[in-house]
Amino acid sequence: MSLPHARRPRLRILVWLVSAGFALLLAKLVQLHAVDGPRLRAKALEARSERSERPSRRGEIRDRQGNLLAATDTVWDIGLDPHVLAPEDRARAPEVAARLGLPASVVLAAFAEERRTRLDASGAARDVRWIVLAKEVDEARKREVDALGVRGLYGQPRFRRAYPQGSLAAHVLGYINHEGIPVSGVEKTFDDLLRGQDGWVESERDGRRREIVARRLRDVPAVDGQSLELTLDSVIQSACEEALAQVVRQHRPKGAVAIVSEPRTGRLLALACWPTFDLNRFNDREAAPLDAQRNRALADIYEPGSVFKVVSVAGALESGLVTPDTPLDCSADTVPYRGRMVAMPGDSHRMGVEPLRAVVWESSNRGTVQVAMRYAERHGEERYVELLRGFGFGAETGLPVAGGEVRGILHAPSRWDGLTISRLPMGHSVSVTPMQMHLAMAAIAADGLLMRPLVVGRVLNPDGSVAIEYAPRPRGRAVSAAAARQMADLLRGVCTRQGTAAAAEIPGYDVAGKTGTTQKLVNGRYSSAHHVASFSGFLPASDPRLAITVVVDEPTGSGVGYGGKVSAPVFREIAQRAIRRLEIPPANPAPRGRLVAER
Amino acid sequence: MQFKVEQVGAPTGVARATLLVPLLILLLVTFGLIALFSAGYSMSLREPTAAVARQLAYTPIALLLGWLAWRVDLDRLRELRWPLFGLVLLLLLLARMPGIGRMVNGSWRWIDFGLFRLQPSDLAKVVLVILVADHIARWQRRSLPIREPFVTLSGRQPYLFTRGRWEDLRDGFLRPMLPVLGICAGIALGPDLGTIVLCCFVAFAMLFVGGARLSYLGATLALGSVAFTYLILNWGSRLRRFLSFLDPEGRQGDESYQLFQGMLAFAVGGVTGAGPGNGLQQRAYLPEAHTDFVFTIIGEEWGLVATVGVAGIYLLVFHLVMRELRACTDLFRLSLALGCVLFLTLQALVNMCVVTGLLPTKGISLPFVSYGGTNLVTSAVLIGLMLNALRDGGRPALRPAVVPASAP
Repeated sequence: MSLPHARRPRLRILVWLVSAGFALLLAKLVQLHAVDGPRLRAKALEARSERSERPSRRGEIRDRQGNLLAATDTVWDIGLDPHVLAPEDRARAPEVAARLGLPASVVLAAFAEERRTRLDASGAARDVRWIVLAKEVDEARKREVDALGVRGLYGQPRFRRAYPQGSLAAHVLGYINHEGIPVSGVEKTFDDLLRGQDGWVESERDGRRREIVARRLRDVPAVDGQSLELTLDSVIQSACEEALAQVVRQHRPKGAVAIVSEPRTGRLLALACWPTFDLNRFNDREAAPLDAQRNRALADIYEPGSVFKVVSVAGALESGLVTPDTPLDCSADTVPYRGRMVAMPGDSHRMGVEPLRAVVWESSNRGTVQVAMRYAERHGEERYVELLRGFGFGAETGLPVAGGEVRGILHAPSRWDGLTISRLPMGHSVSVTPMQMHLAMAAIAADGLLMRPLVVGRVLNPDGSVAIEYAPRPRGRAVSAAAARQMADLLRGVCTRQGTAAAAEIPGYDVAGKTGTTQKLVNGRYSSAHHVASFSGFLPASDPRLAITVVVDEPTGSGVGYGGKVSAPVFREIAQRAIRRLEIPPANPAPRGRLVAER
Repeated sequence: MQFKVEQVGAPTGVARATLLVPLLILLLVTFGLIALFSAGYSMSLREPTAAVARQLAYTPIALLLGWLAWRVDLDRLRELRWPLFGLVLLLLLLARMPGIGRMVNGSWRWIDFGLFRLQPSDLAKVVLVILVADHIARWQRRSLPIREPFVTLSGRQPYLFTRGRWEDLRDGFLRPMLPVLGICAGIALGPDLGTIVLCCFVAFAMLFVGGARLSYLGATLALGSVAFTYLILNWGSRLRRFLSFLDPEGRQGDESYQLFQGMLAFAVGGVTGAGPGNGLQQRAYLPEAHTDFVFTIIGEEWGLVATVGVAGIYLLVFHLVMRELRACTDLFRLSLALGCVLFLTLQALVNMCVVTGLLPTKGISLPFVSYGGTNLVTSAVLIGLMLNALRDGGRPALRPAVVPASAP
């Protein structure tokens, strides 16, 4: 029996129904493949595509012996993918917390079921794939956490700047803040070199977020940053910092600065400021208040006082207006200057007619002012200011250490008042930074050449090869070599029993230097209680290898804070340790040397 | 002595379907193997070709069993229908037994025989087709137009429910429903809702074409819809899962993750595909890419051209068979062939509709293409039975009347 004829239409209906189903499928396929295709394809490719950073390592900073001052460590941010976390591991939150050193409640909250999703701005639920538990965990602790074997707990490596020496040379090094932005010091000035070039990988990943290496499109390796080799010497630097700490204990000043450099090359050997701070704790308001972070050698100005006299005297010596033997009347209360009488400043003790030599040794204000007046009368006040500018005053020093450097205050003659000519030569009515004063003194030591200060000796590539070498370079000539030598000769006398800085004397070495004691302006008047005690000098005077400047702001305690009393001992302390460090031979050879020669 | 064989309608010779269908099926199997080659990476990164090798190993078995189904005496098989029914019910029960059966994805569907795993519901499909086809052929008298009209010309009110009508209902409709319900109940032990729906649909279509009364069919459809709705609404998370296919993009995070990733695969494929081996969606984005979602791999790697092609092959097979059916004279063989081709076509259609988001997600594989030995073997057996039925279906429905030529 065949299919009854009446049922044939039913077969046809079935064929039509099934065909209609296929037609619907065809329409849907066209829609998926072609119509919605581009939009959905972008979505799929976005979900697959992966761009991962290859962070570069910031260059190191070392001192000139190669001691590490700033390094880049690898640390781990530990986080959780709540979708990978196995339910049975939820109970292990306290264990994880213990290893990470976190309160258990924090980890428990992160492990909670409801943290798997969050609501986005439009109120739709979004998967959470990363909950940060701890930041900057070190390698050892990360390994402990890994050992727990909790699935979904991952470490994200990243670099952290570390300063292994803590506060050593803090103001020179500067630091990187938590955003990776350099804030101060050579970290900021040389950021372009220290900072590497981050690399990246463009690739695709599968549904478990594993990279499919065969689909890697680009792989740009990271280029690590270059390293800096500073001219600093850690031993001398710490000598400076210890010496400052000592003077701070004794005199309780508001601040203090010590600078050591090689005068003939301009290389900075040490720069210490007090108060100082631990670079690793720059964010800690207690340990590192902003006041302690200020680089007082560059950002603070003070009236340099007697140390400044060196400049005028050297200028007068250069132009032949005076010789060390020229007599000067230090008893005159008023002196004629350009057709008027100018009142002389006071001296600490009365002096008569003295040779220039004695004026320098004993730091006579009246004698120095008369020397400067002669210079200004002969060459004009403009040229006198030019002389000062030639020593670097009124301009930035060019020391490549970011630290809010200021230019100081040096007025042009048009802004002078009647008394300026009698105050400026002795370091009043002028404001300088400790670094400016130091470099001016170093210029005397370097036969009159004002050197460009160097703090970075070499820049090294990641492979250790030398990229840049900074050679000593003069900024200009301050005075003639002959005048500078004459001046240096005069300054040797200061650091003897006849001068103001007997405390700076070092047996076996001829030390040249100058003290400075400035009254500070307090409420518009020069205060007899607030001083800046400074000393600037170099040694050996005949062939200077070290220039050292010490500035102590408002020393208190034992009477008046004369530069010779407060700062000169600091100078000597630093100089003695630097001599040992640099093995500078004494000027008078030891008897043993002669014995060896005779044999 | 000469015999005169009376030809009733069908042409003689090898039917077109007998030649074309196996070729088309071979094409599907090839597609499946290529897709499986790509999907292998998501199954095992260490041995990406292991799945292909296993599937290839099943191919000769499927060929052998398919050939057997083609050669078997259908009348003999028809006589064995009740023992087979009993066996299927037993296997379905065993699959539910912990220790014998195996649970996969929260559903008891497998019996592990060590060497191979058997899915009793696949065997059930074959038996279901035989039972329903047998019934249609045996009881077609009961589905002829109603002998007792409701209104008579004499104006006498007839009884609404006469003995004749009851016998029509019982023998023409309720009898075949019993084995169908029995098998469905057995599959429901799994549970495997998708296969139940598929079985019901196929049985329904067979009865429809076989001549069951529209009033019975209509009532059954209504009842079935109500029951289905009730099940969906009261089966825990079913409703949510059931409806999630309507908004795959919105639910891509959970219920529709797989579906949405599959739809992305089609999009990535575009018109011409990303290229063989370049598909990435199966790389852990699609957890079941090699089985139920194999169509998406084809979509991504070969594009619209291939997906339409694959769908077209199923449709072509369906049309070829339907064409042959019109010439079929034996109602049992006609129904058997219809049931077999419907199982293949509807299963394929449902699978493709599921992965494209037209139907709710169900664990239904794509015949001949999806990974899995039982799927391949069962599909081959269905094709074999179908071709077997078509081969003999053209013969006279009655035993050839042996009439001596010399008779008057």
